[in-house]
Amino acid sequence: MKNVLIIDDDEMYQLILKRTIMRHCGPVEVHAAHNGKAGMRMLAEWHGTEQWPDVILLDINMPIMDGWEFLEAVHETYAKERAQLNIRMISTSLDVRDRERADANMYVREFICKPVSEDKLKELIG
Amino acid sequence: MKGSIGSKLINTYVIIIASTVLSGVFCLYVLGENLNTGKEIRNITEPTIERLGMMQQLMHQTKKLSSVWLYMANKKDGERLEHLVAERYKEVDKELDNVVAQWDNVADVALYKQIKAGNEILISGARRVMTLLDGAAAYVNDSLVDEATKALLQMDGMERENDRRYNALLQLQKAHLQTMQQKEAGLLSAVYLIVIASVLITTGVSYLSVKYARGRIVEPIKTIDEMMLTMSAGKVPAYAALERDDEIGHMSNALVKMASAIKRQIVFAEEIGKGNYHAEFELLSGEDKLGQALVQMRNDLRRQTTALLEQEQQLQQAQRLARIGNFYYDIRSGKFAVSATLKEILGVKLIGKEGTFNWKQYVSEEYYGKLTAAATLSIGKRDTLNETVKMRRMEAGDEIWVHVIGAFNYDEAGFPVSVFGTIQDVNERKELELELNKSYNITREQNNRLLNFSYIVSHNLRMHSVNIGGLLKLMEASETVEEREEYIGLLQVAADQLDETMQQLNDVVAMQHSLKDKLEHINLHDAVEHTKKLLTTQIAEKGAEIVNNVERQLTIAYNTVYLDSVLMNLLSNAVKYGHPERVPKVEVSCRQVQEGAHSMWVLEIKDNGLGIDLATNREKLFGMYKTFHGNKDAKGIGLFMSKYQVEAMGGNIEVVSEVNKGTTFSVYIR
Repeated sequence: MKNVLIIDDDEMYQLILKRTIMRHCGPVEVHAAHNGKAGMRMLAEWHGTEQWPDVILLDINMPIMDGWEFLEAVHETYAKERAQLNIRMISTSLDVRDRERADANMYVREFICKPVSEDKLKELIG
Repeated sequence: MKGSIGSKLINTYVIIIASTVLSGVFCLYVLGENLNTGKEIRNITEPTIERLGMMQQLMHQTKKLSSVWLYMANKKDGERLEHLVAERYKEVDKELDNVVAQWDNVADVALYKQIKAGNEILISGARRVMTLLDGAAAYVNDSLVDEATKALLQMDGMERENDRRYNALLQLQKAHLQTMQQKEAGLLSAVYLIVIASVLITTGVSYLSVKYARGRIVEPIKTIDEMMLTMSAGKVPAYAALERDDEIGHMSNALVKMASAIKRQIVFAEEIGKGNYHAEFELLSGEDKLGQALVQMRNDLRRQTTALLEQEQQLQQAQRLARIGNFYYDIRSGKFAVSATLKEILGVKLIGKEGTFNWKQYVSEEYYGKLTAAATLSIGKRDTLNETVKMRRMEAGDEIWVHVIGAFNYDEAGFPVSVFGTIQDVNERKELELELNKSYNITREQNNRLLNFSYIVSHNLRMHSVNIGGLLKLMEASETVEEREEYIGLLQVAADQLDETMQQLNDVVAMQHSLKDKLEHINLHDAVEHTKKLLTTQIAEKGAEIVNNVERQLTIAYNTVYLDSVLMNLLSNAVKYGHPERVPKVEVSCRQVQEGAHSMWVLEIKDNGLGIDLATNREKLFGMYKTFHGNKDAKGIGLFMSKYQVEAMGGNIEVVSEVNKGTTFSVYIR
């Protein structure tokens, strides 16, 4: 069973995403974190186990540790596991600077504007 | 010319020539006399003596032959006598007559005439003897013989008489010859004497003439020549004129005058050289070309200097208007030369005692390094120094902005030796520029914030629309009534959130439009107390303490809405983010600080709460929708608005914080 990690402070969107994935992507385990720091804690917990997420859906604007800070933390801790990290940035931001920054970051495979369509989720998670 | 050398020389030559001519003439005369005397001796006196002798001899023979004829007549003697009487006597008599005709002594001529008469008597006596005794028969005639003997006796007497005359005349003639010969010799001696005297006179006069020329002409000319040589070498020697009234004296006087004139010209030229273009000069004459040239040169220089001075004054005026001055700095000696305007700009006490300048003393400490770095770079690039720095004005006691431009000069080895440049007072411009920069930076920051704000607004609005869209899709796909009702409830929540976001945006927009220019005199202490009252519930919930240390009388001019908003945000944050392990305590105070010529109030709000990690959060502290503690009530809008409001009032807001110890916000109020 696949593992998906959602890092987003918007609880409402966490819920919507979780239910949409479960509805359309078959048997999948979805976890959510409210900010980057919580996400890092989860990765630390899952490191080296089967729980290691197949996809990480990462929001940008979050309190305590935002998406960018999370990427820096990932780089500091999991640079060697970069190949096993499938991070997709999701945001409602229309700020082109965010898109450019995401494109330039080697850990981000894709920048997706919210809402993420069901088809996109199927493609990502299967 | 009176006493001139020329006249003296002419006199000398006249003497020489005259003495030569006179002696020549005299010589010729004497020689002529000599010749005449000689001629007289040879043509008259000597032939006279000779002929008289011959005639006397002839008379003796005539008488003797007459005697022979008387006593013993023979043919041969008869022929001889005949010859003597008929031919020889006539010849000699004629010769004697010719000579005597040249005589000028009357007594001698008379004596000769007596002799001639005696001769005639003798000759006629001889003829009578011959005639009487012609043929042998006569000898026998005694009367004839007696008559002949008588005649012979007569002849004899005459002969003796004539001999006496002859002797007397001969003696006279011989004495005359002697006198003439003496005269001839005397005349010859006189010629010799004249020649010798003439030679001696000429030699003497020539010697004196040469001596005179040497002492009175050559020596002074040599002195004058030396002086002229010295003058030709450019020196003007001290020289006294010779007290003489001749050409040398005149020449010497002229030379002294010339030297004096040259000295005057030199003094004049030196005055011009010193820059005294008002020096006067009286021309030596109308033809004084050098003097005229010097006066022309002085006039030209005076005109040029005046023009130059005018230009310099204009330049100085222009520099004064542009507040710019120029300088020349000798790097090795530290010597510094400046224009008057630069002294005015930086103060007259600019230069040290030895004309040196200490850049470090005058360039503001903050900018000295910048200036030396720029200079080093310019030298390295062989480029012009171009830098704006602050310089101290010792007398005014302040610092002003100046723009320094400098061109370096290098020695053969490529080291910089001096710099020529300008320093311009750009203080007003620079202050204005800084002020504009500041305004520009604030405006830019505000624009950035507004841009961010627009992104945030779109983000937040889209967030809700995305949520509502997602919920609707889930609701459509829901299979049970409970599920549908759950989504309807969630849609209500989403709608409330949207509404809240809209409300916040309204606040921000309202703030942007509020009348920031509307100032009121507000008692700050009372304003803090008012906010405290509004926060009564929160304070009570947390058991917090707010200490208002603001002076009771302190009044500030501020926009009331902004001040209330700022106080509310900062005080509520201080209470809200209290540390869980201690009672929140907030201290509010206000103090005055000096910023340049202005004084400002600083309102400080100090809490003992959670604190903020400024190392990572300073940048986003005042950003919109930034929260830091994961607090559910945090909206991330308060500090964004506070900063905007404080800056809109011309102040700024600063923060000092330490995690777990507390935070102090300082609000600067103009």
